[in-house]
Amino acid sequence: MKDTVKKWLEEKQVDMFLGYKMVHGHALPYCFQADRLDEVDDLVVSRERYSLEKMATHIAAVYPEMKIGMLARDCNQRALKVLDIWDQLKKDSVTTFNVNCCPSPLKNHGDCSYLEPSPVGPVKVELGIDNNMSVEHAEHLDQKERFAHWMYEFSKCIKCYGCRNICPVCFCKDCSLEHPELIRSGGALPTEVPLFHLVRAAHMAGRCIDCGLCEDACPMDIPLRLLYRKVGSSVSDLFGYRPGIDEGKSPFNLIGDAPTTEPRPI
Amino acid sequence: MTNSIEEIEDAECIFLIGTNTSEAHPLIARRVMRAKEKGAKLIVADPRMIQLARFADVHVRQRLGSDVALLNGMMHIILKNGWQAAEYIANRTEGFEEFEETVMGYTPAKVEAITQVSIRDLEQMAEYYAAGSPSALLYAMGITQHTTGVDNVKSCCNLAMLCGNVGVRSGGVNPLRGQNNVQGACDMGCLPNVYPAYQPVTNEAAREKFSKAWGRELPGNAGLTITKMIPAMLEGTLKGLYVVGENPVLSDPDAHHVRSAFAKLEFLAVQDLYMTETACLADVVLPGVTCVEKSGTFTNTERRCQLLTQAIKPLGNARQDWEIISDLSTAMGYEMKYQNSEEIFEEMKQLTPSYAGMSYERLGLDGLFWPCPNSEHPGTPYLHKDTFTRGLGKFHPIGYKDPAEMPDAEYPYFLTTGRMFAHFHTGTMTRKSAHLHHEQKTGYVQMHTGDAKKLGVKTGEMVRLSTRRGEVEIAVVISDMAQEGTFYVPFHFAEASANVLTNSASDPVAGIPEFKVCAVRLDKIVHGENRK
Repeated sequence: MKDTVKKWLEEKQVDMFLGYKMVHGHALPYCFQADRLDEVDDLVVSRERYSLEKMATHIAAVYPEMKIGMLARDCNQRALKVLDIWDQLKKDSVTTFNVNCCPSPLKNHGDCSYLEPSPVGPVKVELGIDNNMSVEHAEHLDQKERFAHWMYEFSKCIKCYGCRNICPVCFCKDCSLEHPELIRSGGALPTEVPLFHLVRAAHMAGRCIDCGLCEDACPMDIPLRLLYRKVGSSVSDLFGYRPGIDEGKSPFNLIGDAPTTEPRPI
Repeated sequence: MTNSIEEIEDAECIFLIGTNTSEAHPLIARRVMRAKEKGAKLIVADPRMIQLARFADVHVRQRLGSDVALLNGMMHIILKNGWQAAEYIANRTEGFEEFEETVMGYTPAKVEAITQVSIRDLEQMAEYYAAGSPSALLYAMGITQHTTGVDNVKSCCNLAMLCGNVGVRSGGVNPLRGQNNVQGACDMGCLPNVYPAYQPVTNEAAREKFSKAWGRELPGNAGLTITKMIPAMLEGTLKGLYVVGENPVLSDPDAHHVRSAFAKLEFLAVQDLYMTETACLADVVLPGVTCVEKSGTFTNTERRCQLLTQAIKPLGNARQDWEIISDLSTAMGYEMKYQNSEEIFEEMKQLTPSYAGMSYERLGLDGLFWPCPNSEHPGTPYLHKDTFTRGLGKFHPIGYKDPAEMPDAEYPYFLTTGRMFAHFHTGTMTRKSAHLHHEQKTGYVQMHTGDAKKLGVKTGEMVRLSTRRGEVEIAVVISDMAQEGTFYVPFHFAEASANVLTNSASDPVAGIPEFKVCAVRLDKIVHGENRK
């Protein structure tokens, strides 16, 4: 891997390479460049992950000609596909070095930290939602109970926007979460329950690639991945479309009038 | 904090008093919530219905400024039931008998009358706190910003010692501090009475040590606290002021009084990132650098010293704070010459025992907790393990005192001030962020539905709030977070400044002003009226 990355940089196949550098025992996202080639020796693949493609999107927005190299697991690959479909980061501008997801006892080519889920406390199981629950399991809960449990989870929200900010496929210039007519701003915490999270969930339809970074980032351990998985399964059932896996445009990627919250004549 | 943030997750009981943790210290709230979800009991004592109160096993809304009575009441019940840690008290503390005598005077009925907390809730709090092994106590400005601030803190310590919770992992007495480096600034002696590591300026040996290191004779008397500087400026005994990274015109109580004091200064220099309200009054403004433009260390609320690495070159004509101070000192006749912040750190640690074992190399990414006395020492995540700093932990008998100003016929409501989640302090930084501005554009007075009905005001309506110090026009927000009879105003907003209203009466020992309690009146604004 290190030799390949060095070669790419030396031969100007890429202008930069986004990966992880080991710094004082932590693998941190890092931009490797040709003028500091020896740093590539510190390039690592570890359990740590970050949406490198989001950084790439930001870089490409400022430097459209930049050839970006990137370390990519499966989730990064899915995100890159979505970003290409939505014209945020064209696939020609990114060269990936593909690596396996974290090896684990369950699967040798798998699903990072989620293959060894951390235990969830008894009170969370009783009042909230076990983050490791499957969509099928969640759907079998009694509806009233299910509602109460989700409301418990949402009412923990501290409105840090971490779920949005880390999301590799959140790229809208005007975010609905900051639309004053959709979500009340200001005042106290929690944010508007459950609207904030439902608005975000709706916008994940046809886009979420199930990387789970949102849930990793959530300081309050809200089971966002489960929520968006449900949204994803609805899209898959209704339209037969799986973002990041299936080719072609998302069913929501239709050209039409500019969206508005104004009521329209029917 | 006596204990580290991470440890909170493993407490069996968490007692939050005077801290709106999820809004002001969100990542500490994460630990509280995790502990709760693992099965810890959560006690919240806050007059307002804060977010974490929703998750509390018991939430009490004590009357503003009644914390000493509340804590004494809990301790009374603990002692009555024999729930105290008798062995710990015998082996590790002193002054228990005198303390016990005082606490026994705080019967549940008496405490209920002062605090408006029901006896049942009081008993529940006492039981949960005493049963936790360990129980962590967390507090913030709701405890300290009172004329009885020191009494409140001592009462928290009494409670923690009574149940043997100091010197154990996941327990402790944990003040949550407001700024990323306020602990570090205090550690470095940015206080009027101590050198770095809290070595008193009045101590001859300490003074000699610093005199020797710095090559100058040093004064043996303590300087002025900020609350003492204001009257000294008015009297003309303090003529020049150099303000670094602070915005007292907005953050200090009784803002009109503060402004008139600043007007009397012969010379004012302000070093800041932006043209703050205080910088606008300055003769000289020195542009400092933001956190991404500098290297150095920050020591946070859990005593963790962390290394900061410069990401970009300073913008415009901004300069490193240490460069400005060095040049100023050199110009004034005391030469300071350093190559970088690391050289200053190396000098500092020679004189600061609690940092002596640290170096930039050792700090790495995770930092180190002080005390870290030598280069092999792993740092100290929790304090007072086998012994207290003074040897035995001292119980203080503390009696309840009223706040300096209580509501009366003329000013019939309580006013309390604080922070809201979207902004930081006087908003000098956060109000420049478009995203945070979107969250909260200006100030407001939060009040209970019952009070709003009585006064005939609606959400969004501009009203006039007046105290004996001044008046502001401000928009109403009706919220059941507020306690009936108590208004709440966040202090981030210069145009609706809470500190025009607040009382500068301060704690006799620490000098901290009573931002959390004063008496206020609300008047509707009638169109066309003449302002009085």
